[in-house]
Amino acid sequence: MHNSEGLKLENKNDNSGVEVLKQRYEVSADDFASAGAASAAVKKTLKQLGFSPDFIRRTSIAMYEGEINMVIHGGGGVAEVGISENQVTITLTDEGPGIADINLAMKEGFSTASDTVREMGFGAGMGLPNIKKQSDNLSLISEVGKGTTLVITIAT
Amino acid sequence: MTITTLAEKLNLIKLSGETDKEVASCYISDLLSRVLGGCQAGDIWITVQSSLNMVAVAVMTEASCVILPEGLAAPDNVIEKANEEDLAVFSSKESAYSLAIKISELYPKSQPLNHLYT
Ligand SMILES: Nc1ncnc2c1ncn2[C@@H]1O[C@H](COP(=O)(O)OP(=O)(O)OP(=O)(O)O)[C@@H](O)[C@H]1O
Ligand SMILES: [Mg+2]
Repeated sequence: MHNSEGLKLENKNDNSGVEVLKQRYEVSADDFASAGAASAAVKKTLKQLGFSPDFIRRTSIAMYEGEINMVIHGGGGVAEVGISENQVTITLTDEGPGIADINLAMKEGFSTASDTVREMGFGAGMGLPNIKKQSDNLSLISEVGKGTTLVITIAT
Repeated sequence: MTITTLAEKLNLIKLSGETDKEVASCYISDLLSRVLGGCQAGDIWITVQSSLNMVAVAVMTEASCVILPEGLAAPDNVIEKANEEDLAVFSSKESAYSLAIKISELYPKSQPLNHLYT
């Protein structure tokens, strides 16, 4: 996969033979000025690589929801993105408070967002359900007091 | 219909953006995750949210433009960010309800509101 600016998928996966472009972003807690920067960067990369508009849109929405959750609920964290020709895998890891009841957190409308966060337009309790809707595979592992890892896979 | 036509017909005040894209349908909500789930590519998004997060959500959903109703303005840093992303943001004196009625009237009755690529 090529593009005008010379960005291409490289064979970074030791022996699997799958071409993967890997990116890593630090996401800071409670920083609403730069929140979404990682998702925006990934969106640009996917565009440069020539993926379909629908795939780019699904990936951007899912990653943005996950990134914002790390900003608001997770105390910040790290976003790692692996892009191959057939799919993108987004791993969001934080060492925040964790989620006590994952089934409850996945329910539409459930939110523990503060009033301040709600005033900014977040807290509808739709983020995780949206991620599920946009993705082909979702893994949410969390331990109270330790942190949360969300792995989102979206196929082209 | 393009953004420019929309802006002319509705007397919108332009705050940012230079692109003249096609507009599809219209989506109204102020809860950002609802918008991320419901706003389709090409939609005109009407919202009272005028923060940096509004710009990010419009970019992620590929909304064609944003209209802030009831004379709302956006802070300078938001306008700056919207210009960077080439996102058209408008302000209107009218309510979201009256904007939506007018947007609907701009489409010929025989032609349903079509989404661009969904
Ligand atoms: N990274 C995280 N760390 C800790 N808790 C989390 C994390 N992500 C989500 N949660 C918990 O799961 C709940 C539901 O998350 P979800 O994204 O669905 O909704 P929200 O962020 O509260 O609101 P919205 O996404 O609609 O703005 C959150 O309110 C929070 O309690
Ligand atoms: Mg959320």
